Amino acid sequence: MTRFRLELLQWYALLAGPWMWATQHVLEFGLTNSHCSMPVSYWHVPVIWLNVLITTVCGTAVVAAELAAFVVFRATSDTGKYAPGPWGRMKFFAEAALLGNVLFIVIVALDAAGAFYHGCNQA
Amino acid sequence: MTTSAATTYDLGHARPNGWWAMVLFVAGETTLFLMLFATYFYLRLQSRHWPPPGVDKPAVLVPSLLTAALVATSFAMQRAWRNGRLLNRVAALRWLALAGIVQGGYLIWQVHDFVDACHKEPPSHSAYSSIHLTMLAIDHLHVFLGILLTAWLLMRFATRITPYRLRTLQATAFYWHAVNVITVVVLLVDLSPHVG
Repeated sequence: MTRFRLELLQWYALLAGPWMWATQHVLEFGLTNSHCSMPVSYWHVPVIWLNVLITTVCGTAVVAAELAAFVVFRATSDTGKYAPGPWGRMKFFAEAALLGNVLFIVIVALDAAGAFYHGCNQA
Repeated sequence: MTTSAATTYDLGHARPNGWWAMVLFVAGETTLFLMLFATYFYLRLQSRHWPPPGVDKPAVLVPSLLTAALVATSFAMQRAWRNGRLLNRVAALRWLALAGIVQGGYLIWQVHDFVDACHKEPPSHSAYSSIHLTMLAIDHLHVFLGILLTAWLLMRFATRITPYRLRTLQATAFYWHAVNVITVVVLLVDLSPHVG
C-alpha cells in the first residue's frame, strides 16, 4: 500500500470515530426530542427505525475506522516507538485510534440505547 | 552563546509525536467545553430569566482584563519556544518565568473570585449558577494544569536544554494557545447575559 493511502486510512481511523459519534448524538437527540413535541408526534414519524438507521450507519463507520487503524498499525509495525516524521505519526495515531475507536463503539451503542429507551416525561 | 541558525537543534520539519499527543488531548478537552457551552445555551433557552431573579449578571471589566493578561502569555510562550530553539536558554527561561508569573496571578485572582461566587450563589441554587460555576471551574483547572507544565519546564530549563525538553516546550506552548482560546470563549459565553 502506498504512503498516501496509508495516510488517508490513518486520518480516517483517527477522525471517523468522534465525528460519527457526534453526528449520531446530534441526530438522535433531535429526533427523540422532536418526537416528544406534540406537533411532531402527530406525524407518526418512525422514530425507532430512524434510530436504527442512524446507529447502523454511524456504528458501521466507527467499526470501519477501527479496521483502518488496525491496517495502519500492521503496516507501520517496523517503525520505532519514537520514530519522527510521517511514519512515526502514523504509527502513533494508529495506536491511539485502535484504543479510541473501541471507546467510540461503546459510546455509539450507549447513545443508541439511550435514544431507544427515552421517555417524554423527563424534565 | 550565539544564536545563529547553525546553533539550533534540528528538530526536523515533521511535528514530534508529543506535539500530536497534545493536539489529541486538546481536541478531547475542546469537546468537553463544546458540551458545556451547549448545556449553557440549552438551559438558557429553557429559562424565562437568565440569570434568575436575584442573581447579578457576571462582572465585565475584571474578568476581561484578566483574560487579556492570560492571552498575552501566548506571546511569552511563543518567545520562549523561539529562544529555546535557538539554544538561548537564559532568554527562554525569562520568557517562561514571565508567562508563569502572569498565569499564576491570573489563577489566584480568578480562584478568589470563584470562591466568592460559590459563597454568594452555590451551584445547587439554580441551573444558572450550576453551569456557570462548572464552566469556570473546569476552565480554571485547565489553567492550573498549564501552570504545572510551565513550572516543570522552568525547573528543566534552569539546568540545560535538550531536544526532549524543547519538544515539551513546543507542546506546552501549543497547550497554552489552546487554553487561551478556550478561556476567551468561556468569557464570551459567561458575559452573554449582557447581550440580551
